[in-house]
Amino acid sequence: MQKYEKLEKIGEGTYGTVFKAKNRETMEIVALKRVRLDDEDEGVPSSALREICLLKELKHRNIVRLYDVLHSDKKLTLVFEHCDQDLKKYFDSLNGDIDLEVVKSFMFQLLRGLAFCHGHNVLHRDLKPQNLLINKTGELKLADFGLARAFGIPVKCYSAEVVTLWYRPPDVLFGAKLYNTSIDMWSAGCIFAELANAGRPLFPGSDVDDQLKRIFKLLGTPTEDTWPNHSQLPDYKPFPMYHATTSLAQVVPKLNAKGRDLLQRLLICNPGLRLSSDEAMAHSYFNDLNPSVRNL
Amino acid sequence: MIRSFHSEYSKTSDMENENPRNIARSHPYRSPGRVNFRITHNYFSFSNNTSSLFPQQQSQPRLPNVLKPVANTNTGKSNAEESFAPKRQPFSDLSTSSNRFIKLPSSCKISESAVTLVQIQDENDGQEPMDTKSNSEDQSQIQAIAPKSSRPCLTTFQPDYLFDILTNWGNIQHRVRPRKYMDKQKEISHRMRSILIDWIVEVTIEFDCCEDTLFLAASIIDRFLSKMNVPKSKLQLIGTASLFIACKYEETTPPGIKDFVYITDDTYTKDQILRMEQIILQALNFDLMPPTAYDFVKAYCSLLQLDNQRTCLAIYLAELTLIDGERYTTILPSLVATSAVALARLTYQGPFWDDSLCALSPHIKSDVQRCADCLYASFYEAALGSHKAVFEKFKSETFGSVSMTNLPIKLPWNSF
Repeated sequence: MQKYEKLEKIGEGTYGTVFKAKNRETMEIVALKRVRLDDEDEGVPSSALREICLLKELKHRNIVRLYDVLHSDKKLTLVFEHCDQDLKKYFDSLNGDIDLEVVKSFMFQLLRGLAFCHGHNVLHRDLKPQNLLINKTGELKLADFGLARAFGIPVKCYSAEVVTLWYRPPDVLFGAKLYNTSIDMWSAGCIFAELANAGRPLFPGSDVDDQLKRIFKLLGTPTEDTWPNHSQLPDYKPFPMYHATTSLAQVVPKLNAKGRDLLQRLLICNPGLRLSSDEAMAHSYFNDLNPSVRNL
Repeated sequence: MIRSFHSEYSKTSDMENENPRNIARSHPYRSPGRVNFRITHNYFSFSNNTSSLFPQQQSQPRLPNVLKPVANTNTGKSNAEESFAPKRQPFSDLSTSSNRFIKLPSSCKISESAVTLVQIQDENDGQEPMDTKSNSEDQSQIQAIAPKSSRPCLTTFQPDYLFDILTNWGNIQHRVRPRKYMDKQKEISHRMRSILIDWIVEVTIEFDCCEDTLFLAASIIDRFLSKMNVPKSKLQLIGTASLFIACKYEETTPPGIKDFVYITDDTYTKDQILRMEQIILQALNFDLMPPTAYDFVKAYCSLLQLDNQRTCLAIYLAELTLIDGERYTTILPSLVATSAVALARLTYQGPFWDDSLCALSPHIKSDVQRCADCLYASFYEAALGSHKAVFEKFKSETFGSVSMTNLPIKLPWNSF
């Protein structure tokens, strides 16, 4: 631990505290995530175990880099690359106004990071602005893989207790345990709308019911035609028949028609119809993406 | 001493046959009348003539005359270790044509949902009401993908991801492949390793773990033993800690550390297991992502749309390889899986090797045949051998009783 000089506390992750620190030799700034083991009766927590194992395999410009793991008797320290702030804090600094070029750039980078995860059979399962880190240079990186897990082919059932409520897709809200990469695509859609509105969350529900109600009020309550067999999901309960009356133009007024179309295709209740991250990156909304972002 | 363990052993096997997966996790481990899985030190004391202690199994699969089980061990070893050096057909070629996936010949059309593997046990348990939900959920996902394009709806995934993932797995397995370590070990032997894995199989049944956990635990053990010299007295500790890690990585609700202390009959303390956990994680450098043979078997079976029976047989053949370290430790998981799937298809009147399997697997036919020869031998040795946990497990109807089926009398490329 002598290698790093602690500078300040940055925050709390899914497990353990995160510090900003400086490598004494290289002067490089890093983020240290400390996991205490002594009060952990069960040894290395499974969230830390998964985060380390998965991030070791996920080396990509849009995924936060895990440099090292320092192991001592009483604690485990994860050494991450340091980013300036997370997207949530960035929103707070905006005062409700965001450059649409930035929206496009961030959304593209989010999708590119996600495509890499999904191509390496990893589900993030906790995408939200707090878990997206950004740099002064305009880079965006997926972080906090504490809830992530690797999946097989075909997928099997995993926990339905995943994803922060506001970003949780309707199938998982209904208790679906068999989900795939589409789980992250819904969250990406919610974040897209939030970006376009400079930080106003799209579906800030107070509980599962309220969350579903907000979703269906905007998108219309799904029917057996639009989403076959959804009524047989474990926690299904009927909702009033809302029709998709409000058009997305009112919800995300600043977004152009192509952007609204992309959003529409991400926010589909039926998980099988949601766009994949590769498909989303190929959407015409990104046709005029600044070439520097593609190379970023 | 060993006899006493094995009398316990046969009791537990009966119980498994009733319904291994119905053991509730919440079931108190120390409840009276509960079949005891604890294994004492004695388990790890080794006797030279254990074979005579085994009662003959009444229901063995018919052994073809051509096969002499004992004689195979040596030839199997040299085959396995010399000739299966990775003659890789470039795997990356597969992903370049994204249409490859669509070219699966119609001969392998068996209208099973690609996701049925998850539900194998439920279907056979006779508990219909429970699984309608998940079934319909599967269908909804599968049907739902259909209209998006004309691609075949084999799984809930985009084909792009499938090939990315398979290619990636193919690469990772080379990097983390265990070495041929037993010669370098001073105190332990293949036989001890087999006993350890056999015990791990029993524990995973007891803990109601998924197959992924079992295969991962075995992989952790082999990769650790490739790196560390291990005294005999610590082998079971390594096995326990490896399973503890595998459970935390794979299981939604992993058993607690107390359960792991209990299964070793307090041979090791909680602190010992936790310390070994750290040692293993450090030695392996947290590489827990590597694909196992089970990952490949599942992927191949679902992409080839094999039915439950064939899938179970392929899983069984792959699981048998965990027991026999001498033959299989250094063989790549994807080769074990390809051969297991090929042999399972052949057994049920399908093709051994065809374009569809060739498109998925990074291996060439001759390697697959050689590995299938080993699997064939292992299959018939399983009923006679001393490590029967896998054999007993797959006798149950949950797994289609595949350990009781008969493989083809002879393999077509072997002219006896």
